[in-house]
Amino acid sequence: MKALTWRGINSLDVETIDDPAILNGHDVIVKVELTVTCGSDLHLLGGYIPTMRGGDVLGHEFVGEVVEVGSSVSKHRIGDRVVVCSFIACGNCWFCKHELYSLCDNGNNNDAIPETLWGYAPGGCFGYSHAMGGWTGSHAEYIRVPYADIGAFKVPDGVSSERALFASDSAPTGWMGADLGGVQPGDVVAVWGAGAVGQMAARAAVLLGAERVLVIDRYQYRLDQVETHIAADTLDYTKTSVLAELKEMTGGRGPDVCIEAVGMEAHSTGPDYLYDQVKQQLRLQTDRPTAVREAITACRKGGSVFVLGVFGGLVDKFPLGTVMNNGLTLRSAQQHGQRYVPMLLERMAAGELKTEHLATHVMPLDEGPKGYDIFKNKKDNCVRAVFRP
Amino acid sequence: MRGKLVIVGGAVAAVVVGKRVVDARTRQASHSDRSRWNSVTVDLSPDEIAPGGVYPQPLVDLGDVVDIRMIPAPGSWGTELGARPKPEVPGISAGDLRQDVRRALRQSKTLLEAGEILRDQPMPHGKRPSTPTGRLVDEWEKRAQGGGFL
Repeated sequence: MKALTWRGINSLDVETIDDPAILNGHDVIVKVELTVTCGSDLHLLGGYIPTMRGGDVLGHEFVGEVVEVGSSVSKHRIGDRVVVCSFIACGNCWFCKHELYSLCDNGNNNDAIPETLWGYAPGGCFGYSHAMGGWTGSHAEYIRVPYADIGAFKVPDGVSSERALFASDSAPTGWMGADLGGVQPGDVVAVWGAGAVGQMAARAAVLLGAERVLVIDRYQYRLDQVETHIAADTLDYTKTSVLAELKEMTGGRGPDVCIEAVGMEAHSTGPDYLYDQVKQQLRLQTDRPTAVREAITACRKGGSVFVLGVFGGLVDKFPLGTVMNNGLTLRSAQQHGQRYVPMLLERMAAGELKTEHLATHVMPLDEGPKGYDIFKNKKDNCVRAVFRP
Repeated sequence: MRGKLVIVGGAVAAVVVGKRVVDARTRQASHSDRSRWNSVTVDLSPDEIAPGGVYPQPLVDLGDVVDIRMIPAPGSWGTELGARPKPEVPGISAGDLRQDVRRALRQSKTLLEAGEILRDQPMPHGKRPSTPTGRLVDEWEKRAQGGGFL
């Protein structure tokens, strides 16, 4: 089959590789209909997460058709149109039973690397390096889905594949930020990052009853999407002081919930950006936490900060004193998608959650390297490049 | 030129520091001491883990060179299933068994909770060009031998 593979830092290719096979009774094979780039893929592409092998297949957010079913699968039949959660979870360990699916004990056989880096191993993730199991990704014609009864969800007839695609990762990740961030009716919520995940977090906050939701970014075309499709307000951080604006907008209190949806390659206009860039390029810190710092600083006393962006290791100048003295609750997680996908598909069917606008560039898989170039370099107002194998 | 030297110097320093951190963590958590139990917590009761006193096959396959124990875990966690090499088995060092014990415990947990041992090979992939990160992953996996720590 054809697949988009990582060949080295900032190098991709489309090549022919072996087809996947059923290896466990709980597996299904999915013929990929649509598979989408994600901002977190750029950390792999750029070598910021140093656990990739040349030849690894990227992609973790996809929708497709079940074409082969393992002997133990009970929920799915050949021909089902399914969206698959990016994290691989067994559904039966303590973490899965407590709906902490991305922490599944039984989805990542490659636990040596994450246990050494982070103390414990999170679950596995499609196409997200050997720290997350080394699983073959979805930028391919076919993909093996382990634990399919837990991680694959039938798409309702009234929901297009273009909409359902984002129920794989962006929408549940964003929803989790608002949900576990504790958004309540009447809250003011600020979201850093107007990419797909940030937009979905903002939409979740709106649907959970937040009184005012603000999304912060520097790309006007993304902020325009927020105002048009998400029903939230926006701030361009290159044109104003975010902290001053947020204080003014909230009567000096600060936002109740701050959601960071940027990750380890954050940009900013201040001197801290230069500082973080130098330290990251010298490998004296692995991640640039600029947006996290600002979210912590902006949050109201006793408020909540949720980190959705992907981070790999160590950061510098972390404002722990602000967290402590302002009594903040700081939470984070990879997405516990299985917890949210059925509800999100219902909301998609009801028209409450629309995502098609995120797929700004749809192209054949053969054009994958070009798609990543457009996506990475924000060319042609790209929000997400989507591949159709 | 000076900039490149600084970057290379920084990278080398980061690798040296990183290796020391990994080595220290490995020493702290490697379970290489024969007397230390290597454990996983299984979300089942002891009777479900070893019905009739028979442990899961991956642990049985280790033979009688290891001790096995089960302790009820606090709260709702289930059971702590532990194993460690028996003291002074002739011809076998604790180091030889360390990763085998770890792997057997992990596989037993998956077998018990998920119903089957999750297989990950063959994993379709493209041609494998040599890359710095790929060499790092190769080295880490070789060092881990399928076990829990590098």
